[in-house]
Amino acid sequence: MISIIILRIFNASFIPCGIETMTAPLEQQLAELTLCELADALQGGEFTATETMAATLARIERLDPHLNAFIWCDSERAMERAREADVALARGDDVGPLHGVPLAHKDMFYRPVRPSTCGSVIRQDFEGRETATVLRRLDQAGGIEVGTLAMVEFAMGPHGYNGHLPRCRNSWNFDHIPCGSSSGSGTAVASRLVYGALGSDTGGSIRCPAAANGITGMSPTYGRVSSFGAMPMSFSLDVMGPLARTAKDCARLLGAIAGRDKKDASSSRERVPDYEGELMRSIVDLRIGVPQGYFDEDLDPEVAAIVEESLDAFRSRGASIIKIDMPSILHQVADIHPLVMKAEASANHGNWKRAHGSDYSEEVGKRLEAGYFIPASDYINALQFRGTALQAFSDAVFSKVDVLHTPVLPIPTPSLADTAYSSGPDYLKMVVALTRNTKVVNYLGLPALSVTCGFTPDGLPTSFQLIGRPFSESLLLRLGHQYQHETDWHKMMPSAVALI
Amino acid sequence: MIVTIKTIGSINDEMQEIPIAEARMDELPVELNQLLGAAKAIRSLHDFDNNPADFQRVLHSVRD
Repeated sequence: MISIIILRIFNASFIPCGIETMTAPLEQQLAELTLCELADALQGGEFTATETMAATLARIERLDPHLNAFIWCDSERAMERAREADVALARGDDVGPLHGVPLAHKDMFYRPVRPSTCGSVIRQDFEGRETATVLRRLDQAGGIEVGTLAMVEFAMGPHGYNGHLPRCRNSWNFDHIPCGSSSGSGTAVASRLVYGALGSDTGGSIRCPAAANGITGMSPTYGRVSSFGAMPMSFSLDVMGPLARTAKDCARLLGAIAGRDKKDASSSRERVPDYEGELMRSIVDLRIGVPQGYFDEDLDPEVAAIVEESLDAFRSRGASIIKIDMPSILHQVADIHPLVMKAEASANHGNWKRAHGSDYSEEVGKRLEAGYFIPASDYINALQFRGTALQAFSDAVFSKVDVLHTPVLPIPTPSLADTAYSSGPDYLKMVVALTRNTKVVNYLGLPALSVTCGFTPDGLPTSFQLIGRPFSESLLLRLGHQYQHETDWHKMMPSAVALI
Repeated sequence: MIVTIKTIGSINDEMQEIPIAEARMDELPVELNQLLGAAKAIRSLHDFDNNPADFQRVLHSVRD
């Protein structure tokens, strides 16, 4: 079992010297800070990177056995980098915007000399030959990688369950799913184990775990962030992006990782704006669209009420709220997305599926199978349709509004019992429901920001997403930041974590 | 076209050679017919001259 191997790696290098001297109040004080607050405090000399890292590792050691967010952790290396960060600051070096900040990422971003399991048995010993561009850029910005985080096997599933790993928990209620596939990223950030994390999003895998765990997640425009050195799931649909407590944190992380990369032919040459610098620009007269059609179909009434109420914060800051009919093409987009995803994923996995079929979990192994029987011409037609669909969607929507405001999950976050694997129709309906509002965004290549806006009666967070024109991340982050200026959902400590 | 267990079995035996459990062979046609139905529904909605890479051009052209 992969879990045995992972835990061995985890424990072998886990407890750094001196952690036992860490006082609980400092750990608590540091855990309350957002990524930007911590980064600014470190640069201002309020805390050292070393004491911050020691507190972070102590918190991970105390909480993660209950949460299972981490797959691998290298505390010695993290402490060494923290000491180097303190020396650099004392020397007066120019330091980056993430200097000394503890981060951890979905276990699919390659870095030589440490494993990138992709949540699988097949890659349990895999080490990438080159560092992923996003990790290299975070390193340059001063972030410190503490470890790698749980994910659904090969990122193929929206609920967060991975049969090869200990069950990653929802930080608000252990009996509910964390969503996925970036499950560990959602849980680790929400539980204040790290200050930010990277995930990947092919049909909602950043936004859904962000929503289920009550944090903020940014799925950027296709090509905005390099995919080089990241495990491919479906190369036409995959995007890499940050999960963090706040929109401001996401702005800082996105600013560090966005931009052209010669190693990724699909990466865009579009200029990277100063995301953080634009957060407080006025939103007066911005047009926020409330969809009529598609996104309000099969929508849970309690989720609908919470998401609708969140519009008040935008109204109060001068934005216009406009009802807008969704083009019917969205239904075709929703239906064709899985064809592209399955065809590409099946092609990627073909050799392993033939040679190591039994190393896949039953659920993920099955998910791959249909892709082998999709005619090439239908797959190519599905890719040809993307431009047509994007043009039609933009003409219908962005000629009338600046952003769309929709629920992320159309249902309250399901329980573990609701999502226990089966091949029955209820299970399939649940899986489809989890990503119905998010996957259409991937097919269209648009950016979307997931922002927590309240709690369903079972005490679990729920979120809206803001969907914008291509490369409008700056606007989405601005709206998310100003919403969080008016509300405090993002400040709440997950109840299940608080009880540990 | 309706995909059947026989269709999948033949393609798999002759071309793909993917290990598929017998029980799964009953489920796959349902999933595949949904996907192929979605493909059929969009066949008339794109132009002959459309290059799939054109998506990237549209992505940049509709940004403003």
